[in-house]
Amino acid sequence: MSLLKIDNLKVNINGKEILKGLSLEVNPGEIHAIMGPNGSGKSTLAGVLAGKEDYEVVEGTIEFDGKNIFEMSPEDRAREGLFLAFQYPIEIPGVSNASFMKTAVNEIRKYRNLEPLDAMDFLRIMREKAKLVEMDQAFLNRSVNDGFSGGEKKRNEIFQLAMLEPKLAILDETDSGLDIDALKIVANGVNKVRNENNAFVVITHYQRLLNYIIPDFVHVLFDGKLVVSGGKELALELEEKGYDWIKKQYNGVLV
Amino acid sequence: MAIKEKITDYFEKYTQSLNGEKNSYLFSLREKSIKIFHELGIPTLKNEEWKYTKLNFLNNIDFEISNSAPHSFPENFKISDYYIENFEGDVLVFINGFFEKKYSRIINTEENLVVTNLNEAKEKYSNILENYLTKYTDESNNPFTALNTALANDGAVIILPKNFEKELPIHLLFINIPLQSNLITNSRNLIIVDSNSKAQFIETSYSWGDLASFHNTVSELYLKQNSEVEYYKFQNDSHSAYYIGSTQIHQEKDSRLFSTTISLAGKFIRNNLNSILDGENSEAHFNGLYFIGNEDFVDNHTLVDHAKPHCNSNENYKGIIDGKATAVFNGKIMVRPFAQKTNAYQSNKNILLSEDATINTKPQLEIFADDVKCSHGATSGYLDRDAIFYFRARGIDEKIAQSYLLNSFSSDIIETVKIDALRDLIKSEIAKKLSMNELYFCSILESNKI
Ligand SMILES: Nc1ncnc2c1ncn2[C@@H]1O[C@H](COP(=O)(O)OP(=O)(O)OP(=O)(O)O)[C@@H](O)[C@H]1O
Ligand SMILES: [Mg+2]
Repeated sequence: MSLLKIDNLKVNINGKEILKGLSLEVNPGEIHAIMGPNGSGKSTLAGVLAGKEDYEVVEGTIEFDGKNIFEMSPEDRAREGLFLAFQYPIEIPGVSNASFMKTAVNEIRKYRNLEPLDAMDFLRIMREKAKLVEMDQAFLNRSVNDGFSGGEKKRNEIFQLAMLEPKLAILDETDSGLDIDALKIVANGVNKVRNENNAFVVITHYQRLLNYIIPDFVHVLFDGKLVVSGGKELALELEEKGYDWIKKQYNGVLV
Repeated sequence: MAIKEKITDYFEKYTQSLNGEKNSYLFSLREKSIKIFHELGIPTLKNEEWKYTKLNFLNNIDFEISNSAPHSFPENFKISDYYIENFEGDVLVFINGFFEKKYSRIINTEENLVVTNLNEAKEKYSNILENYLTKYTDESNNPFTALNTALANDGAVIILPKNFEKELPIHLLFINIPLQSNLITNSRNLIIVDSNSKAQFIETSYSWGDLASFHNTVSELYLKQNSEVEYYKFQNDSHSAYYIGSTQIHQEKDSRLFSTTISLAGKFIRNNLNSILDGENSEAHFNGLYFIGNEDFVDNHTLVDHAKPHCNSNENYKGIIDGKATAVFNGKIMVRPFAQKTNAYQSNKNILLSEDATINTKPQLEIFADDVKCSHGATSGYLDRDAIFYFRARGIDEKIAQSYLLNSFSSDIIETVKIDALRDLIKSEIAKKLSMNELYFCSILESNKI
């Protein structure tokens, strides 16, 4: 059974059509990359999956792990194993990273009828996962993303991913704003977390990330649909030729 | 009968019952004050000081003026509900405005330390009362203070001698138990802290039952040279509770005042908190948190009066307003012509939790000196939806997300409460308001400190 099945998804924002019939299937163990020009709807797709408000789903279905995603609140989606690494992580002054994660982990455990982690176990796991993304322990006591640099915020997203061990992770431009070393570290973190039971949807503008996180499929989101799909070579082709050929080809079909 | 006439009428009868006291200084004060009250009447919204504060409950509710404590408590009344758990210090209990020794606890009996009530003090300390009462309370501008002076039932009188450094928390506990009719009580407190002494005071007022209670309270605090006072008000009263409380503080050289006012519930609350910085190097810290819902109303009017140079004032009030509640904040900073090198800071931040919640906030600066550092700011808005979503996207439901955000918003104010037992009470009452399991809420607070 597929982990994620999106069928003919149409989504409006403030009456404007953003996604216009998007379909995608993701199986356990797979990595999908989604590329596409600015404003084509990549973050919208990620937001719809995570349950962000202010989208109007006009048509289509999404099944996550066999369940209708639209019947689940955002928190239940997370508890079911969906994770979104935000393109723009939110700053939460006054709430420590550690406390934020402890609550998240234990709320998710509660949902799965597991006992909450005690303080010692939690600390141990947290330190382990921080090491995985080479995040300094000091960040654990700081307020969530508060005053973090752009790259530190992205790294914190991957730390959270490692903590929550989702079935499906959507990374929305996690590579943007990372220096070369950080990019490797983040990619490395993802590769350590990945296994045959989980899957990743990696939204990116740059082929570079895909040298480290090797995708099984690459899709181009254009004009609200996935118009071209291919293997990892597609990313190289896009890097070389840009989106013009797709725009021409696709608009040609339309006209 | 309108409330004003009712009160003046009552005063007539009241004076007839006084007999012997009639020649006293206190009585001359009462007579003067009832006249002022009669002249001023009940303020309307046209009065700048009461612009957002509707007082129509005074005429809509048929109040009687309290003249005695009840003979016995109603069956479901438990005095222990009103004590602060684990509080170690003196407790002075006033029921329907009258001191109840039986339910009070006065541990501190050091020589020269006075912890008593107004009716006791009348004779024993008459010259002190004469020297201090109404000295800085501006009655000509506040009819409720005038009313209080005219009709004061009783109250706490506390006098700390010089160099009294022992930690001495004192809880003033006012409980109204209206049995036959809606009730007005006028409690008057006088607190004098002599040079180099330190003290902590808590004021709480409660109203039992469904009949209305109107607490009209005035506290006068005198901080002598180099004294330090923590002054707390904790307000968590019922839907039948109406409260107007004025605290007038006078500060001498090098004195330090730390005031925290926490308002969590009450049908109507008006707090006037005024301090005169009347000696160089004195400082006043005003902190406040109002977290209200339903149709409650809380109004904080503060005044820091910089009368001498080189003084500091620091004011930080925060508000969380839910349901159909309304809050008012009016912070006045006065810097008199000779008060050079003044530092005055003020901030008022508000979070509205519902679209029917209202906040009226206004700084009011009157600066007549030129070498002054003064800043102020006020904000109000809703909780950040993006922040809430971020929590939810991590598996944390909205209620907990909200608790986190509100806790991080208000914790700096809660931490200004230095009496552990009171701070614990505040936290547990806030947890209740967030309809969260108290233990869970505390674990959030705790884990945040890892
Ligand atoms: N809340 C909103 N209100 C109005 N328009 C919106 C809103 N959110 C997104 N849009 C519009 O929807 C379109 C798709 O935006 P989206 O953020 O999904 O693009 P993207 O593919 O992620 O772009 P980028 O590569 O720049 O991150 C854009 O035209 C954007 O302006
Ligand atoms: Mg985007």
